[in-house]
Amino acid sequence: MARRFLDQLGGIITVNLRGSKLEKVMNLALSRGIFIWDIKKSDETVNFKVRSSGYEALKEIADENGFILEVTGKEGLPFFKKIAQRRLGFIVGGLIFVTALYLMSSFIWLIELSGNKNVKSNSIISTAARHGVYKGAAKWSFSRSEVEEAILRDISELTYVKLDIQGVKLNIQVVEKVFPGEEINGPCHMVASKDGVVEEILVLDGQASVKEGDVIAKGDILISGIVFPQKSPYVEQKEDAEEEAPYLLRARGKVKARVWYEGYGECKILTEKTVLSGREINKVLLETPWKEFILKGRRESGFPLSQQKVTGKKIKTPLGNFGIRRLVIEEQIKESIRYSESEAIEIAREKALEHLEARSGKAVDKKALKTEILSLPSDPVLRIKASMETIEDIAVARAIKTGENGN
Amino acid sequence: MEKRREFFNRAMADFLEIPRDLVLDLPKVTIIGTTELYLENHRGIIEYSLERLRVNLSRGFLEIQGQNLEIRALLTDEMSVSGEIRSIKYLD
Repeated sequence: MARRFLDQLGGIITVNLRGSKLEKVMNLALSRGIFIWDIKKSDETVNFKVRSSGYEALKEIADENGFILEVTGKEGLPFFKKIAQRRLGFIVGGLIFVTALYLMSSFIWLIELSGNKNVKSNSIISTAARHGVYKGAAKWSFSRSEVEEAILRDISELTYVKLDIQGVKLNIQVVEKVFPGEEINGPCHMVASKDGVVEEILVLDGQASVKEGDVIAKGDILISGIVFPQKSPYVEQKEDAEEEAPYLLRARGKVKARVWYEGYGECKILTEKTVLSGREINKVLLETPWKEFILKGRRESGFPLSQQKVTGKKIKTPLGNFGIRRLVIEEQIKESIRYSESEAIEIAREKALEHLEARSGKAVDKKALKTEILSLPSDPVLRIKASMETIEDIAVARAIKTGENGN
Repeated sequence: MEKRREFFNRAMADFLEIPRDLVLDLPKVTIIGTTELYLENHRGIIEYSLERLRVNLSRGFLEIQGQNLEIRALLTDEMSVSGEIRSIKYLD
């Protein structure tokens, strides 16, 4: 195999030898170290192969001894050169293609970013661009680890950056820092976050300002962080003992309260709706920067009321946008619907429920839901109020501002 | 004189257990089926046609008879023959 490959590199010549006593040439070639192979006799001649390097010597032997040597075929790399010269354009084109492919694939054409929530994508991409990674940047013009470090240095909200190059696509993966939540450490009250009625109160630290059954409004102090020391009825106090001064602390505790949520929904008894009639027109348009050509379909839209669906592909070029658009124009007709009372109630109730869920921020238990029809039977619109009652912890900490009034 | 040297060589080869084809310059023929033949230690071609190939050896010659005989490779002391081989004869 290796020998054949070397032969191909050097070039092989197939010859035809004519004359009497052909064995003589073979023996002479043998003694002079000319390697010949594939020797086959046909009639009075013999065909064989010789390396192009040994051809001259063989020709000399043949001429000296009165034989006729004729070249019948050439193969191998040196003879390929002549073909290559004839088809120079093809080979140069091939080379240009391979070079262009290599060059084009050594730039970054796409950038994808993942992992960021709070840090804006633009700021990460522009920071990367400042350090040499942008669309169209050559892959060899930057060092990945250096850019990673530079981005980390510039954007302090990030804790990890990884640049991953896949072909012409760059993936930037980032991990953001998680900052600890702001904890109030100084003196504070526990205040109500919602209106409600106190159901249960558990004081861990501080002084309760409300008791069970109290109606509270949003912002009311539930557990006070200002404590007025009280005299214990069990410890004997000295007559002349001074009253202890009130002190501040961080109030802690839980206050469970009955809280109401309300949601509102309505439904028109007589509604007009646009629906698709099922008739449609298909159009195919060829888009060029200068004009649009209709390849298929009529020019006019055709329907008084319609909706369009557009699909297609666009190519951006320096001249403008080229593309093919496929338009589907679907006819719409108006249809009036009259809901029965029970249907209208159901629709309005659903809407009220959605509204309620959006307000309370949690899933609603439909069994605990109370609905009330607000509208009169003669009204064209049916209105519904949905209300829900829950018991939840409404106490939140609020810092006590000191120093303003001296307290 | 020649015979004595040959006798001595043979005795040495026997004693030292060296392959005889190396010491005595004897031909070595390998045949694969009836289609391929390798010959080592030859001394050139005497006659070649599609039906008969005669190869010179250090003593005598080898005659190969068959059909469509073709010399696949020819080296200074090696050769490879292909074709339909019918008979191989050693002749003096």
